[in-house]
Amino acid sequence: MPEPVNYQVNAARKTFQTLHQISKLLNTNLDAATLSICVRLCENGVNPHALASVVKELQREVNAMHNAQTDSGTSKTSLTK
Amino acid sequence: MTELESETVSDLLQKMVISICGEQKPDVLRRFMRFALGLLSSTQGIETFREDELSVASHIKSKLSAHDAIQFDRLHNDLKDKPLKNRLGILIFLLNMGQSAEQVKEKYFTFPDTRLGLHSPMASSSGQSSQTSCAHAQIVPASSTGSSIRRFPANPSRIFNEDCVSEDVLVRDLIYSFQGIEGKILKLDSNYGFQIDSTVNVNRSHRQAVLRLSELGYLHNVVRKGLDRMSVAGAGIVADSFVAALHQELSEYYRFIAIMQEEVNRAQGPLGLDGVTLSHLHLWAYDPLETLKWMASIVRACRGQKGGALASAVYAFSHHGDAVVKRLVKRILQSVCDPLYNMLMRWITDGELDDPYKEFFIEACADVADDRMWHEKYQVRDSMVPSFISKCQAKKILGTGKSINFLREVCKDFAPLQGRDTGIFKNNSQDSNVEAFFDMDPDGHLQTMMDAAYKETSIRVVEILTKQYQLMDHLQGIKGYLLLGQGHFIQHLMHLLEPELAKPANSLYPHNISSILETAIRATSSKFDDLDVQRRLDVRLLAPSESETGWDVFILDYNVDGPIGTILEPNRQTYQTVFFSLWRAKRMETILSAIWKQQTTSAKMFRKMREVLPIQNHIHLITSSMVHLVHQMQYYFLFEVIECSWDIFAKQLGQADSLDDIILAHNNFVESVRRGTLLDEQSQELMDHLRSVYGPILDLQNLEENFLARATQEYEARLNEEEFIGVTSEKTKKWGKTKAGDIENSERKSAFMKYLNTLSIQLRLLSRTYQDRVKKFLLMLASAEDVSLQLLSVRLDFNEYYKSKDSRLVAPLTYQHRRQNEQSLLSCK
Repeated sequence: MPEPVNYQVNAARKTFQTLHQISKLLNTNLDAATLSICVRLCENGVNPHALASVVKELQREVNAMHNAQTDSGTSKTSLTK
Repeated sequence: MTELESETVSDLLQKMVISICGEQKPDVLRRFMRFALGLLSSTQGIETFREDELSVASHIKSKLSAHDAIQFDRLHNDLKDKPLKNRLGILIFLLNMGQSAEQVKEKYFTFPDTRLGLHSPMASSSGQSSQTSCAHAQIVPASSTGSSIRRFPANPSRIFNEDCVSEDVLVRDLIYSFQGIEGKILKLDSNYGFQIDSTVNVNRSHRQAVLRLSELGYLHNVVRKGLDRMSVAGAGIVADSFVAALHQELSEYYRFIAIMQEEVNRAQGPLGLDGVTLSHLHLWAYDPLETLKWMASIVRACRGQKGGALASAVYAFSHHGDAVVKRLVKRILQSVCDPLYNMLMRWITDGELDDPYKEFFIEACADVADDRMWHEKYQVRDSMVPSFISKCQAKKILGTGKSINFLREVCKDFAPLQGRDTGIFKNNSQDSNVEAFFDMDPDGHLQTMMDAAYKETSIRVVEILTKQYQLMDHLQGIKGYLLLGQGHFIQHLMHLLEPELAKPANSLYPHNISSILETAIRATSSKFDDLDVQRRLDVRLLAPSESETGWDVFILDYNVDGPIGTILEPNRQTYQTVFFSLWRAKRMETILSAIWKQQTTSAKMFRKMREVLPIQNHIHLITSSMVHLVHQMQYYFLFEVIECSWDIFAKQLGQADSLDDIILAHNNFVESVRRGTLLDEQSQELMDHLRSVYGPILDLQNLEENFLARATQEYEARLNEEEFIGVTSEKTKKWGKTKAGDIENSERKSAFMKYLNTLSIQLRLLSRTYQDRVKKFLLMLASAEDVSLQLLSVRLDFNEYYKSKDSRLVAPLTYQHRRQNEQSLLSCK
């Protein structure tokens, strides 16, 4: 039964597109991959507030690390490579 | 959570960490992983979602611009039919992420250099994220200024001066004060007004605005207090409806406050639009303020009033140019007039007064006898006549109900009003009629109806009185008997009563005289009259005093009761006095005619007694002059006064279409009769003098009777003498004259002559007294104001006999004298 599967995949894709658009509207600053992971996490019943704070925290950490790297210009260039 | 699931979650988490952080050293990744797992697992059990999807969605929308919100709506709708298990969770997650993004954007905005520096490494991690962050950079300035604008006016005082009370607080307090409730800042003062608490520091411009707005609360309190005071028990139906009407207006005002409160709540809520400022309140409160002002002044004007006076007080406000005020007053007036209108309707259709609080402008006095009912039972209560009802209308309204009651109670006529069911009365229930009540359009429906009701009941009363109770017959009877209209009856009655009335007054008995009266009635043609009229004729004797004869106390009376009494009873006394005076004049006439009769019959006898002739002549002269005067007076009274007044009265009666008209016409008639017969206060002097003119007539009667007796005696003595000489002496053959007889004769003769002398002196004296009195009487008549009395004076002295004797009598009729009189009259004034 290929059709129902196809249909399910299609529906999932559409759903994800919609969510992605909302995410863009809200300027969540998440890329599609991260968003899909987060959505799946939510679907699994993770507390959305907690998840949001985790994501934000991670982003902040990463930013901080980037800042630290930009301070030492060499390490940054190596990273980009 | 099952093992498999938790595994998936941790897998997913790992993926996520990697996707967010890009390629990192494993220990960093592990650290992040641990952190994420720790946080998530610690909140795993706590699923306290107070939010529902709708509120979250609207929250999200409120964060977006209008265009984006619409787009979000569409997407959200799409999402609804997608197979998502935890849509709500995802939305919350996105919402939280969005917020974070905003904060991030702000950070970027405030530190643009670092953001720009950060930008390039981010772009490397994923192409999409760089795109979105670019989009952020473009949107940021606009959205951040928008939010700062929104926040700025909300708490300006906090920015400029930390001590000042913020506008929000003021607005809240003001809204409390609008309902008359004290707030933190606005405190009630003794006059129900609001003052700003002196301990609170309020910006000066705000202070003014707040005080201006707090007037609303003050007015509200004034109205409330006024209404509370008026709504005490027993204030009356009109006052109650007034209070109700104002409460209705107040509830409109409360509605306005509720709307304002709602507005404030919305502004303070999470979805807050612009905050409510004092200026907003000013704008919104403008119309209610005007309304409240008027309500307050109406309440003030109506304080302590009730009933019709209250309606007048409200009505005074209704002529206002402002349409809003006019409408407001009209609404109040309508409800105030409603009970009055209902009372009015009941009054003019059923004649019922349902007025426990004495509010209607017609009042009923209890304990009034039937025959006084028309005059005294119902009155217009002047203080309660609403100002939109004129005196004349009030009188008409009074007359309508009075007529109905009169028919019912006095005439015992219970037939319902004929026109009650016609169209005029049917429209009563229409609401517009209450309005018509205070509009008082002269051609309006209500007016027509009231006029119709008035006319109908009045005409019915008149009809019943004239047809059923034969008013005209009774009036004719009074005129015939009491005002001497039936000459033959009076003549006969006087003839029959003469011996009885000559007795002293205290030996008279009414029943004797009553029987004589009945005889007189039966003997004269008045038996053809209505029996009822005759039955009502009655004899009254005044309280006798010493040395009064029956003539002084006898009075004919006419018994009146029932509906007729309403008209006749008040004038009963006047009729009696008029009868008394006319009766006396009539008696003088009778006396004089008796004298004349005796003179004429005895004339033959006296032809042989030459010495008596001058006396007889003298008496004849005096009698003639008296007869002339008495006849003229009687003619004047009976014809010129009574008949003429009667004519006018009869005409008015024919035209009368209400009982009041009849009463008025009758009163006019009685008054003019009273004035004409010189019985009113002004002609008191004239009447007294007329009575003194009558005096010599009575004296003359005595003299004449004496004279007649003496003369007859003398005549008979002479006749005897002659008979004795002629017949007896012839028979007995004796001398007809003896000495003794001669002496006796001459003595008798001389005594008779002496008597004649004194009599002639007495007559001369009497004649002079009489003439003096008549002259004075004529003078008084001639100088009277009334032209008919002047003419009477001329008529009494038709041959200028008295005028030639008294030069003063010439003067009053000259033009010069007249002018002098008028001038003196004017100068007196």
